[in-house]
Amino acid sequence: MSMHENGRVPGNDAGEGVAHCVTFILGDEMFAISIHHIREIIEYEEITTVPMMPVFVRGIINLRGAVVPVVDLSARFGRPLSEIKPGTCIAILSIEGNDAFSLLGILLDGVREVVEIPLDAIEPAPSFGTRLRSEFIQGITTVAGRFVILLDVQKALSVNELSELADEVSRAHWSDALAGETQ
Amino acid sequence: MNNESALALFFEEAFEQSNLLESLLLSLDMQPEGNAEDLSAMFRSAHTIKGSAGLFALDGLIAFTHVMENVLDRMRNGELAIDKPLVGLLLACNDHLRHMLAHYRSEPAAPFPEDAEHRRLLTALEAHTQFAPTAVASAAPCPVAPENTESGNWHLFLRYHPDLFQHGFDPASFLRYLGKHGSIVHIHTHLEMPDRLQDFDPTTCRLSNELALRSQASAAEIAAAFEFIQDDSEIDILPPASDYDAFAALAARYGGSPETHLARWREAGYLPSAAPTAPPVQSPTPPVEVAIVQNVPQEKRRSADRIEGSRFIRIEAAKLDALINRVGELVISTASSRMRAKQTADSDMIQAVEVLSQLVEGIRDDALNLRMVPISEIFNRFPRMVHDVSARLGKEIELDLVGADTEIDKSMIEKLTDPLMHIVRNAIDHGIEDAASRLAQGKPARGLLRLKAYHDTGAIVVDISDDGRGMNKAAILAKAQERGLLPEGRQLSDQEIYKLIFLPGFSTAEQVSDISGRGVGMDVVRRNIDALRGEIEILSTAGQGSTLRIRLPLTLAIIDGFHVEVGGSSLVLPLDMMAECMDMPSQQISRETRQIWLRDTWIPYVSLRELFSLPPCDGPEYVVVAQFGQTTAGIIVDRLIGDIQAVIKPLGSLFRSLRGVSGSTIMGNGRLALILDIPQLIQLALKREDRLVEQRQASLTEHSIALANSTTRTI
Amino acid sequence: MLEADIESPLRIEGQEATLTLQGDLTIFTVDALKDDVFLALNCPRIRVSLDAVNDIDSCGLQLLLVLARQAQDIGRDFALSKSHPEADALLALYGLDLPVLAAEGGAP
Repeated sequence: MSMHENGRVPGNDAGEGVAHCVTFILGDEMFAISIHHIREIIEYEEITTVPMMPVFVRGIINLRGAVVPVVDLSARFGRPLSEIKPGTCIAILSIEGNDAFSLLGILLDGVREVVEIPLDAIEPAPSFGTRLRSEFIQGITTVAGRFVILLDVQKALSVNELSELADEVSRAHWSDALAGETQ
Repeated sequence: MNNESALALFFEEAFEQSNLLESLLLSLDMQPEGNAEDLSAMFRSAHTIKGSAGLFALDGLIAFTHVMENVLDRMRNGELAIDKPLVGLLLACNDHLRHMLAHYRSEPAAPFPEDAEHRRLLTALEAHTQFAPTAVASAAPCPVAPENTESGNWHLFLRYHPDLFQHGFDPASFLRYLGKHGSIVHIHTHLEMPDRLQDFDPTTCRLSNELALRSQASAAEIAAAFEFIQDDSEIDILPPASDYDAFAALAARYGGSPETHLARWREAGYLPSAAPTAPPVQSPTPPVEVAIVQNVPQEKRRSADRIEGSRFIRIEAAKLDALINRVGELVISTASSRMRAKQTADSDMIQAVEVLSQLVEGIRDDALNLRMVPISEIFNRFPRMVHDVSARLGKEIELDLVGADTEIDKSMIEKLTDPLMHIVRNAIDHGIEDAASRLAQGKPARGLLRLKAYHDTGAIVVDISDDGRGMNKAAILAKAQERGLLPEGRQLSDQEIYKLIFLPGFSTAEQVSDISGRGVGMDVVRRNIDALRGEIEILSTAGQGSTLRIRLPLTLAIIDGFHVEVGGSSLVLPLDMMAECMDMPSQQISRETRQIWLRDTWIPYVSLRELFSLPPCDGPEYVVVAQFGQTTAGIIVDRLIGDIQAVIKPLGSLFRSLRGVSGSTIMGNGRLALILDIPQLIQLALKREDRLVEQRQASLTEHSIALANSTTRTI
Repeated sequence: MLEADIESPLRIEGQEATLTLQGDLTIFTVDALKDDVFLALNCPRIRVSLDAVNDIDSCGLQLLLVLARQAQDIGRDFALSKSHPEADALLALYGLDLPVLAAEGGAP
């Protein structure tokens, strides 16, 4: 739980010097997330759209009776919406909020595999060269010769930040609706 | 039960008893003649606390309640005149009792620090416990002397040992002996019939007696009658004026049902006439039910009956929530079974599932009902509060509580209490005039404050009414102007003017009082009611009083809903706010102003496609006519599907600012559907309508200004 | 013992059983009387004469009470043929009474 405090690298399995991560493709880039954040990965199921929300909020799903919001990471990073393909799945993440962990689903284009990344192979986030806000990046590395971005899930999917973004959009939408037809 | 939870239960019950005592004292304050039943109940409250405190060796508490009990006992027996100072003293003692309870609750082992107040109260109480020939005794003949002459009787319960005859005794001789020391005013002889006559040994004694003896004899003299048999037989002697509890204790020791014995003794007139109809130990009297009725005698009777009929079980709230969650899951899976059954087209199966879902519906209602509590849980706090506040302000106020039985979700109770307190305080302070100005206006000197709760189309409504001076529109406007709270150049409706009092920092009290004139409160009220998704309305007539009407949703975890579709998405509307459904009219509609003609009037509508930024529908559309309070609006949807039971699932913090949607629910197919917030949608429709009107006026004005300008120029 | 001195108090004539008790009706005699007393329960109508009873105590009264109660329970017509001062006093002391036929002795 406190792995963020003890080092820059998540998924640090005690003493082994490796991080266990799940890699996946987003657009044409490969990303990795520490398996410690991932509760489960489920097949894509139809998502119930919630209106008046930011585009990156794809909607909500029923996970065994719990309502879980699903976020489109690609849209979150300011890129086009992910396309739903046969291989699309939803990773259920557990994100630490202000006073509790909340569940959040992210759409994944296709899960590659679980890899062990040696801690010493992880470089700090570059200040340029990626199209991502640098605080979202935990570090970079290469897996099987391919450039991989390790996501800082806690920051990229901060419940607070997402909620604030959602607040803005839903408020704007509502006041637009109020003003609506008079323009 | 371990000692800790027993102790927790004790405190809960002790506070309840204390609340009960308070409400009875307050009603005594209103009607000093009192009634024997209440006086007895007050005594029992103190007695019960003392008795239970004994179990936990809370010595300070025992000592204090003992003295209270003595005073209450004397009041009950008509030995003390009841007046305001005495009631005031007992109220103060009851407050102190709560302090003591709070102390022992946090530190059961620590002795209560007996401060000056403690000693003062004890001294004052003790002055009332003595049969003093001085001040206390000079009290007027007590108006509450109990009518039961039986209280002067001894009551004897004689259960003879079976070998009594064989030992050479005859009960008749005891009875004759008693006859010499007084007169037996009533006797009941019980014959215990043998099971089988063949086995009956006629020399065994199968008799027992219960009797009332009017006698001046001492206990010792009476007991002497049984000197020789008391070791074997069970002889119980209750001296005159024994309390109900003594009889109840005896009944409990007797075999069989204590109620049967008590009923028999009641019939024989043995029980103190002030005795309740049910033993208090058996049915912890919810203080609320007594407290709520202080000026409504007929309701009092009814709730007293209810107390008799009900038995209570305490349940941990979490267990209840777990049950309700589980019932929610049950409802969902039943819905899904029902859908699957329909797909099989197997009529037996469909029938069976139909029966099942009806049962589940019943369980749902029962489970939800468990969480409903009478609003009297809030109302019961008002008699004391009104008493204190009006006393401080020197106003005489009669409090009328109506509909205290109205049930409300337990979770709303806490959130509603503070706002109601504020409003009532405000009504006493600002609304109701002092006696002199009331009399000058031809009103009764005593002001009337009424709290009324009732159900109205899927909502709980609480009205707080007073017969005071009413809202002064001019004063409110002036104050709002002074504080810069008035919107410029707008004509406000009455309702809008009244609602100015909810603005932060608003206060109309010319003289800031310490009760409510600090200018805080009403904005807090507004915030709290908003948080409950409630609405406030103000009705007022100058000189005649005002009513503040709070309308709250029932906030149930499961609702009856109506399933509709928009753009392929399922949506659920709360059924209780739906008036009707109809085809989208092609003629009587003004798309520009978003209004449709419904029978004899234009109503505003909201198109969900438009709200959700979906492309216009290419097929036919439907109008759901929704109603909330006094307002009506249409909601345009693609398809009407049908009734559905919806278990409300909150959406979580990501959706906290989302309006128009109140939650989600799991449909029979496992997918989620959004539940629409009809009040917010109606509000949207109405606001849009307002804005439209405004903008039209503005553009008209602009137009005329432009005209005026151009005119000027040409001159 | 005393049994020999008391001839059977029970006479049955048709529907009616008559118990004619004599002497003492007390703890000392109840055992002996018991069987005859309960035999009377076989008849629809039971009459008890206490005229010849000298002494009655609570134990004796209890036997009468058991008989009267049982008669009532099984639907027999039970009555004392005549009131008896001492029995009446005892019944009064206990706040009880037993049905008594009219002084003439004729059943209506």
